[in-house]
Amino acid sequence: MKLCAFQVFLCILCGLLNGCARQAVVDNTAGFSVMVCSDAEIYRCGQVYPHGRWQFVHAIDFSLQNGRGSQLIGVTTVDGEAIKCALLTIEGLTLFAGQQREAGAVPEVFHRLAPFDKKGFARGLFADLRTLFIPPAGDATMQCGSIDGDPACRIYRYPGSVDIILRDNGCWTLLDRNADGHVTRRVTTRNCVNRQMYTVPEILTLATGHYTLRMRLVRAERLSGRDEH
Amino acid sequence: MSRRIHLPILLIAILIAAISGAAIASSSRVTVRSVQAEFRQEKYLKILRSPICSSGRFLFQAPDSLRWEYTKPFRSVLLMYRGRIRKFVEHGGRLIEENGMPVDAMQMVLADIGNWLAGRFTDNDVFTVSRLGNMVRLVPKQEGMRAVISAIILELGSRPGLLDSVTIQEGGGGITRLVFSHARLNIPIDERLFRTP
Repeated sequence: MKLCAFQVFLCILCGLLNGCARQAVVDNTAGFSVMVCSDAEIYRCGQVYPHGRWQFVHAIDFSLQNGRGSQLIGVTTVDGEAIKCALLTIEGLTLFAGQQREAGAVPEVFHRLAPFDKKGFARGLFADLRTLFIPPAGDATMQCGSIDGDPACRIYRYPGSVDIILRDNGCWTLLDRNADGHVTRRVTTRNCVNRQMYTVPEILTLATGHYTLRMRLVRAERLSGRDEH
Repeated sequence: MSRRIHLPILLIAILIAAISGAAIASSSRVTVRSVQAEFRQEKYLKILRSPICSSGRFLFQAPDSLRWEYTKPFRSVLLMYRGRIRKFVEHGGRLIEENGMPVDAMQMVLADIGNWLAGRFTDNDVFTVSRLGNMVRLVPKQEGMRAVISAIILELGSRPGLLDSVTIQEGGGGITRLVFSHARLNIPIDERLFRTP
């Protein structure tokens, strides 16, 4: 039985999630004007990330630069530094399930189908999810300022930094930079609603130099201490 | 057999589920010319606090035309018309045809349609079939396939020719349950619905 084109495409996807996120999409280190942090900026920048335990279900539209793409359903549970994730086909088949307890930890894979068993796929996937849902860890420090006239927070962490640009419509743009200051991931948000200290975007778009994930929120749930997920 | 080749197996399972409804109708003295219904799909996973729900509709026209369509949360359409199988997915707001449908595997299923419509609801090349009361259980014959789909359970409806639900048990522990509603039997269906998304 021959390998179908869809599976070849998934192999490419796995390779990209594995390796390409390290490549820059834009060099935009300039343009950050340092200012004194206001309470409002500190508050809003803190609301970019969920606090406590949450579970999100997203409809994910994946596209390559050449216009090809596919669809997946993603389940993400965040709990402090820990992330659990499952990827499903729209028909419901589980392609991948695993967790990463903290940044840099080796991902634990519960279930995977080829080609999602490709070496490095899980690490790339969790790196994307950390950009979206987990604030920079460790000895991160923050500066406030503006980028292109919009208020912004720059969080320094080793290696690199994260810029959070606060938009007038209540949403934000996030630039994840490597140690050279090059943006490796750009996150844009739309239709944001504030819920329990978290500004929940209906649409999250994560772009690297090689692929784009457009994630439409299906469901966001704050988990209680009794939930075992 | 490698697990790599089995990613589209759920589509095959869905085809079987849809066609089985018609097959069961044939074996219960109802001549099936067409079946159409809406469905709600519930996905259960250990990681999930509550199931993920999708919905859509399916249309079947004897002997071998099928439309399996998801409307939420994505739009996706699987068409089978005179032996040709095509799948369309929404991408960038438009329905785009996916290449590389698993034609070999689909043809294994298609080969059995004739038997099922004749009421011979028995083992085939892909599944071992057993029936107990209103439950029909399909178990993949190949070990590699069982690692992905361990069993498919069809729950027959009280009305001849229709299914109440299909439960797909994954080898990894996940469960997909399809519950059918608003089912209609032998209502004429526009042929274009099997040809165009």
